[in-house]
Amino acid sequence: MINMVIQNKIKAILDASIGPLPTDFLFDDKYIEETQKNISNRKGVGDIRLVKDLKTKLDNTQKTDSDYEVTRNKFFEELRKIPNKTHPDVFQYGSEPKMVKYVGSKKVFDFKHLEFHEISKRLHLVRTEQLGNVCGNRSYFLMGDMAEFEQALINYFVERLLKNGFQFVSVPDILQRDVIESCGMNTRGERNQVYTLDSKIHGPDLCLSGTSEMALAGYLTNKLFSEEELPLKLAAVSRCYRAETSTVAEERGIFRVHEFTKVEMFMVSTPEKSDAALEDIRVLQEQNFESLELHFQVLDMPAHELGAQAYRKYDIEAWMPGRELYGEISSCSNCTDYQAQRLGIRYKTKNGDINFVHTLNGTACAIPVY
Amino acid sequence: MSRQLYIKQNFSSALYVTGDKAHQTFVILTPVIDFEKQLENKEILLKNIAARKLSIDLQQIESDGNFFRIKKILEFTRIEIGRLISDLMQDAETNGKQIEGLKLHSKLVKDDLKNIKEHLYGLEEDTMLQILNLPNILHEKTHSEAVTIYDNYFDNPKETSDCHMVIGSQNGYIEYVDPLTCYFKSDAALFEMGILNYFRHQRTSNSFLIQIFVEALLSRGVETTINYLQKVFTLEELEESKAKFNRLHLCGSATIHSFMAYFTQLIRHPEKDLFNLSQESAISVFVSTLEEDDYLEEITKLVITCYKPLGYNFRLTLLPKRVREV
Repeated sequence: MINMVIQNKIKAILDASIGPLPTDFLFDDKYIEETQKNISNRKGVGDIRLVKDLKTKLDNTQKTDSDYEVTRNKFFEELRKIPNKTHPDVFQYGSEPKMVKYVGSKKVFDFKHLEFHEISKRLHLVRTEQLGNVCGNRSYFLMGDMAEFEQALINYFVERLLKNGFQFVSVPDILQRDVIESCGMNTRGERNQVYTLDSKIHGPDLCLSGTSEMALAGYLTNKLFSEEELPLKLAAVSRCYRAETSTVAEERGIFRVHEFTKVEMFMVSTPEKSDAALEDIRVLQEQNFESLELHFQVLDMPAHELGAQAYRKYDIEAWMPGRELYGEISSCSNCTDYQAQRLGIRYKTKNGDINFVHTLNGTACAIPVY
Repeated sequence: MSRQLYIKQNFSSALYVTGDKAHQTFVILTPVIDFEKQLENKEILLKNIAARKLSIDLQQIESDGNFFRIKKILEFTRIEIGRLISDLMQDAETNGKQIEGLKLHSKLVKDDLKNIKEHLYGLEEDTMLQILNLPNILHEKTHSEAVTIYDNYFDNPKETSDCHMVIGSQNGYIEYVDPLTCYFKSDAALFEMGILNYFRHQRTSNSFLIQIFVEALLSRGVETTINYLQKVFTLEELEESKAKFNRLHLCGSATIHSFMAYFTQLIRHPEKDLFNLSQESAISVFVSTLEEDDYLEEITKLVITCYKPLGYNFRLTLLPKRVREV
């Protein structure tokens, strides 16, 4: 069932007199086909015709009617499932990502090299064995030089972000459920990736942050910026918690673990400049990884890989010699006004109009994937 | 916003699992419980409990513990009869009558054991947990009822200043929502990172980055059940791991729970300040040793070495018995 806090927030936003809403186009007949095509190109979640029917029913129901609340709740529940629009270029790609570029080249070894988990075990740098019963599955300890290496990477990336005009924010790890859901992540059901705190002990709707993108989006909730304040560039270091598990052999070791440290970038932009802002983030990521002499490929991801929130998303996959494959080390997304609408993040234009901002995010550095 | 903690649940122990629940959970360690040895210094133990102002009824635990002797005697008798029968069977013809009598005796003992076993599991779990909750022996230097000042460095600052929350808000350093939700901004966020880096560079032993998740058995092994639920966050059970006794907890990486996880905090108050957040950045030291005094001194020296170059007034204190963790 849709969270009441989100319902009320969306309603408050919809009720507010701030001019035409970006969601209004959803109910226009001429966009129905386009929206449905967008839904089927992504993960097929959401039914725009059902949303339109519910909107019509809601418009024709008196607020005093007994089923008004039920219809309204159902309408918002279905409306929330409709994903963000997709960048028109991405629509052309079909189901495969588009290769944007390769940077660097594969390192050639003149000896038979070992995999990361074998090297780290021999050097006593990472422990992953015999921890399942005390820390849960896919647990790990970084030790000695490896623990220092993690700190060094964090410091290195934070320093580079500060030089690029990012403001640093220290964020909480425990967030309200509605903040996480407003960012486009499901927190309920069997396949969700979000850890929830025991409601009997800690009260309802508290979750562990999956990325500081969520905490930073929560930090900006209901904020109103002036156009001069944008773009706003924020950075945070946080522990990220993911309930996902992987039994895939390629993801052995400390890849796709339940908790890891991440340096995150978050940008708030005007709608006109968000496309360019995404390119800026991508270029910065490329420069950062290039400075570490990594060989990687940059991919413009297809519609079905964008989640509900992204309008466009780039993945960066580095060559992992031990595994002999390209593995994801970073990504960046333009979420346009999807998160801003749900969290009430707006700006005042130079001529006094109030609009929703566009939000973007990108991974500067996620530690355990190296 | 302060959240109510609901701790009325009657949790079963993850650390001590009785026979009737053995098929429901997997135990990787069994705690060493030597109650009789603890009772050898009963007077000291009683003084210790009183000094810490704990409401533990040692007499009752002792009485419950005695009840187990019946079970132990029966088990011993059963084993001895078995051994005797085995010896007598070497000449079964001669000893036939005696063997018959012993078999009958053995059956009666087994019936008695069976009858009391089911009833004893509850008492056994309850008693063993009470024994596990008995406090550790106090360090000889921990005597006073009051805080003892161990050492004092630099002078107390003469000038008074506003509360850190006022200064933080005025300078745009802190955005405080509730103890769970607090953001440090700009220079405050950099200061947090900087001061952690400072202490990392001061450390003398190997650094360590640790797991934040630990399971219930560790939390219970490290702390008593009384403190346990109030200090860690408990996660909702995932469908894939619905273990009844062993829940996953979020405890923070620089905590004794995490250190313990390698070798085998979260308090909430109504005050709206940075001393009472649900999350904090911390650097901890963990030492495993047989010579506790030497290392306590070593750690004390290390702490002084770390704080002294900062040039701010600080003092080291020995906490009185009643404040110390069990």
